[in-house]
Amino acid sequence: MEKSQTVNDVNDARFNAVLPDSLVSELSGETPIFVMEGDVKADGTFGQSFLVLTPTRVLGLDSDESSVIVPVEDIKSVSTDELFGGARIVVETINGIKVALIHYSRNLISEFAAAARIIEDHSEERPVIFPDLDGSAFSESGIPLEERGGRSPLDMPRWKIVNRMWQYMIPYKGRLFALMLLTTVSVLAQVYTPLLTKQIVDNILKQGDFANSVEPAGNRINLYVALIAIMFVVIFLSRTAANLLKVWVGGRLIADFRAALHQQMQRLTMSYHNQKESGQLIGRVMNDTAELHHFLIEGAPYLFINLLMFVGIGGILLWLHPVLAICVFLPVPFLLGGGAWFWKKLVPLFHKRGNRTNVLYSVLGESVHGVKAVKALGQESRRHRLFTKNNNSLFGVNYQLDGTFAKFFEVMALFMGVGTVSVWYFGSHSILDPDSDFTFGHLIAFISYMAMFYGPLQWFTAVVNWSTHAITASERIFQVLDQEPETYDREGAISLPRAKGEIRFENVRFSYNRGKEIIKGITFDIKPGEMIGLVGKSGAGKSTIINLVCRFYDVDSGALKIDGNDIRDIKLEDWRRNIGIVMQDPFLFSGTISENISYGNPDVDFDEIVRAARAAHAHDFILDKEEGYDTVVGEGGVDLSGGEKQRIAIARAILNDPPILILDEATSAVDSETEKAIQEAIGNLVKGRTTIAIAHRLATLRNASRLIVIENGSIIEHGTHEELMAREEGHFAKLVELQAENNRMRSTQVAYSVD
Amino acid sequence: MSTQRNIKLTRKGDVIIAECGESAPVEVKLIYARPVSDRSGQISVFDAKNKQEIYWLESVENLDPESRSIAIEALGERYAISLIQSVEHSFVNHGQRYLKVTTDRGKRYFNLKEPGKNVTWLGDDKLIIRDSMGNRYEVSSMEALDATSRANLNLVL
Repeated sequence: MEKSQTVNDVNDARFNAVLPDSLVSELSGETPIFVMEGDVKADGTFGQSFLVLTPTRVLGLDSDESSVIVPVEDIKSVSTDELFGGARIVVETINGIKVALIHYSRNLISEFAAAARIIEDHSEERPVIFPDLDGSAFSESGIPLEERGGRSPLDMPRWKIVNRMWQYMIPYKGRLFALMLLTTVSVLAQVYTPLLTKQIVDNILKQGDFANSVEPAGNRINLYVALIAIMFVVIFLSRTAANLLKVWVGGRLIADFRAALHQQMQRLTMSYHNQKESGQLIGRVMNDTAELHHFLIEGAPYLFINLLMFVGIGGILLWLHPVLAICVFLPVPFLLGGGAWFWKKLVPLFHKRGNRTNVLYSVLGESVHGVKAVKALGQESRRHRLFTKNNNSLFGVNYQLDGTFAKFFEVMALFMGVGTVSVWYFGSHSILDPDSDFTFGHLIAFISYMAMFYGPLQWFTAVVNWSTHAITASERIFQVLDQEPETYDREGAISLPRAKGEIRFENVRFSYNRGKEIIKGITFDIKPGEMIGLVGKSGAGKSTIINLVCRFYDVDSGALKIDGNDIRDIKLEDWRRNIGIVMQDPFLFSGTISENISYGNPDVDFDEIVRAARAAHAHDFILDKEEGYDTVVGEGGVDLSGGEKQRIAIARAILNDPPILILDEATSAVDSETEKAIQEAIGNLVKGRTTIAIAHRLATLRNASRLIVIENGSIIEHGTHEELMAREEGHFAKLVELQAENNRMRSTQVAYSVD
Repeated sequence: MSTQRNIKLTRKGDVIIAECGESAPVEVKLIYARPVSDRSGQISVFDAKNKQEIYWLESVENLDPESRSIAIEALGERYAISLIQSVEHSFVNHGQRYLKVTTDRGKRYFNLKEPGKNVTWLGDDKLIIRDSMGNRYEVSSMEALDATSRANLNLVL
């Protein structure tokens, strides 16, 4: 028997909220088991409320001192009720009265679901166990989160993320150093070139008296032109090498990230996978890494190169002519500020465009994939109107976006024009001023530097913004990498190469979402070699029992024992090798039929594959395919029928030869003839194995050693097929009768339609 | 399933009991058939235990006064939705949209993800927003909002 916990045993402040002084008197001196804070008051307005469980009472309180108090001994059941705009905890008393204890917004659904379960455990005198709560809806600094327990980009300590990215870069630090060196060389060469043109203009061309100069002018021109040519060669070589390096380092880094993400995803728990949409996870692996990749090979070098340029050119301009340099610098705040201002306008428009494009894609996708249904229902015009409406909506935002862009470029050009005009005006006047040492060469150099100086400035804000997106993408990648993976091996976990096949559920309780209990304290045994049929309505908990046997999830309380050992004490990889599963819609990987059959056992001989396929009644249909066992199935391959896929899955299970077999609706989606073949295949498969079978068609469980009838997470009947059928008012007998009646009605309908 | 005028609702704590003709009283939930697009009628009186409809109401107006007031109260509780009165601030950061609003039930600060999926326009002027945690908010009329609120809302929609 587990021992009760107290709030001090759990490190979660959400179970230990501070009750205001005005409400403490409601406790009547009792020490609360927990105090949880809600966010909706009794009158439905948003505000502080509290749910308190004491040893003898449960109290729903709010800051307006409105209260609902129910003695624990009067509680019959506790449930959560999800409403349209929020949720509430409802207590049913032994007198049949139902009372809403507390209302709360959906921000707190997970917290109060857990609270409901604790209250129920306490009222039924079970030990109070505080479950691990899901993450909060808000970050610690009060920012509303996109997903519970996530991290807000607004709270993101960027240096930490950059530091973590650096950890991934360390293996390539030599290349990174070379990349920075080459980039610096290329920038220096670019910045030095206009100085050479200044030398040609001031020292040679301006003097005019070429014939009488000590050194022939032609030679000096040749020297400078040669130097310029060398600069171009240096720029070419350093930039080419730097580009190759940045593409290699960026690409390598992203490949490392993708591999780390993929490996992590294989090890994450099923509950994590169930919470996330598959598209979201694929997005992490592909889109976020692509965003980071793009920034690493384009954005980051851009920032580095242009920062160097900015500093280098700024320094040279100040050195050449400080006053004119200030003329060049004048538009800089406007270019940076204008860029920031425009970018602030542009970002929401980019998001709007993204959303509207997605909607249009979705409408278009449905129009293409659903063309048959559209035609059949005569809805072509309506469909086109829907497309046109969304198309115009996208046009609207595109016009707004591109218009803003166009204005942005023109305004930036205007700001740059101010600088250019100032340089021409003051520069030309300075040349004409006999007291000034400003030369024509200076002016030429200034004009050349201006283009190099202003050009990148207008994009600075965009690239800085881009960098924050890349950091966010990295943050999302790290969020996945930081998830706790499945516990493969507890300390001291035992090896179980081949189980005998004895399974025991001991008062097992389980919930996917905290508080919504799916399995409510079930106990049963399965002996080695027995075939057990699980029967019950959809949602009764049958598949959950199978999930627990496969240890896709761990039990919340009680124990699941295999050959006398707690399942959590067995090495996970060993345990899963002991199980074979045949599901309603088995998953086939891209590859040949042969590879799919031997998926769990890739080194097996081909003869063994054929033997398994024969036993699974799959051999004949495989040979009937043009490419036999080499037929490629899965994504992009040949389509197999449901029955064919199932027989391949059965062959896979036969080849793996597991001592424990799970059949989850293995024959539900096939016609009667195929079902017969699959039943025979299953008959070959279950021999000598502990088998748990779920079947919608109850007749298919006739051969089971025993049947267990589940309803609402509890066992309501168990026994052999004959024993259960003999119970006149039994649930199983009723289900069989109902199914037989349905079958009779179907046969009659078929007979009528044939007539 | 029965239709109009022969149903009586009573309340026992938070439980609604329906008596329908000769049938035994049953605990029911009142459910709008179209809670997003129309909460003015078409209500199913739903047997909460057996999960099946026992009665269909076109409108609460068809009930006797006592049952009507119970139905209105029960529907009000089940379908309470925050009506946005003004949008004080909105911004987009790293692809996430944030709104600070005042509703008829108080102030809220929430995160809106994928407006394409989580904003339902009901005509050109009315919309329902579902935030990242699943809370719903209604803007009964965009036109009736002040200009700043409209601009703030438009920024993120």
